[in-house]
Amino acid sequence: MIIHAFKEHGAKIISLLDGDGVGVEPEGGGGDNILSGVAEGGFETLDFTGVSEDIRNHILSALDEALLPGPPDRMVVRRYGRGSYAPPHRFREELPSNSGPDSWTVLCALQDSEVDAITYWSGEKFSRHFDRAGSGLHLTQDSWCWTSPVRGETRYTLAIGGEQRWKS
Amino acid sequence: MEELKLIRNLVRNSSEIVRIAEMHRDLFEDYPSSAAAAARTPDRDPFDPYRDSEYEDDDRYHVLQANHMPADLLEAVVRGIADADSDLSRFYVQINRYDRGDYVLPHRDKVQQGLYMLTSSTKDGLVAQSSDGRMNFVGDRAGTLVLHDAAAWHWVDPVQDGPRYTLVTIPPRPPRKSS
Repeated sequence: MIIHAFKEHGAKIISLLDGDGVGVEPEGGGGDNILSGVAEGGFETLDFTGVSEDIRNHILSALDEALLPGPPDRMVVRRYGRGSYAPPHRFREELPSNSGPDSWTVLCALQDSEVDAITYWSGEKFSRHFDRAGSGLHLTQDSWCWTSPVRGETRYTLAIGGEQRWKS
Repeated sequence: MEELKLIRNLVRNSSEIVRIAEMHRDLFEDYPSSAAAAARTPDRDPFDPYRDSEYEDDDRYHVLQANHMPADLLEAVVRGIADADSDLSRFYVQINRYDRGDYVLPHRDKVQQGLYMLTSSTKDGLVAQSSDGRMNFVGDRAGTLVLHDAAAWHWVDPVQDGPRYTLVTIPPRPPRKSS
């Protein structure tokens, strides 16, 4: 399911990220992906726990929370250089510790691309969702997904999630 | 693990092979098979990274093996990748066709294969692991032979252009009669 989660495009967020000066540590995929220890992804991960409140607040203000499955309480930004990738993994792994029974994840690209995408199981077949700034992908937590080696310029993704759903 | 190698311009009649293959689309075998697709249950896991490499019903593409090829197509394929000293009795070849949206899921092979690209694309290609462990995107360029270690992870993302055509061979190059 595609969610147009941002009220505005992600360019401002990227400029904040690039100018923030926050140390971003290479993570290299990690986690419980099938190629762990074999084909590391080489992307960098910026977890918002304990870092710039300005960026976090800006992202939250740019989000249309009503379009999300529930209240967002966790965010992770990933920065991919050219050639970086994310090996096959379950969608829930986009957000560490996001595994409760009501947990949810939405993955947004922060820029447009005609060549870079996430490949994911749609419930019927595998498909590609090409990067569109502010366009989020909401999948079931067990869905398989991956990002093949990035071909364009620096690629940012924002994973947003929570442990609760909106009360209907 | 062996190096990921590309040999360009090896198949000089790629467009001829593709043209003839397009005339015989009805001869290709579909993955998944209609029986496998009908037997799917809603709770099945669509991807087993450690599945047998011969199990292809989780993939989505179309195959024409040499023993089912019409004579004109087989002759064009042989002319494209073999010569008079090739021992074709010990050489397996098939054509893979990917229509828009088709794919091969990440997997590893049991034996080393040759992958010959027959079409070109700015969007589509093969993702394959190199000897340093990293994954690499190899964009489709007609005539290119891609050689990767059998144990290397590799896949084809859902095709955007299409049809995309490749040849898959075992071994990668035709054995020599003299060997």
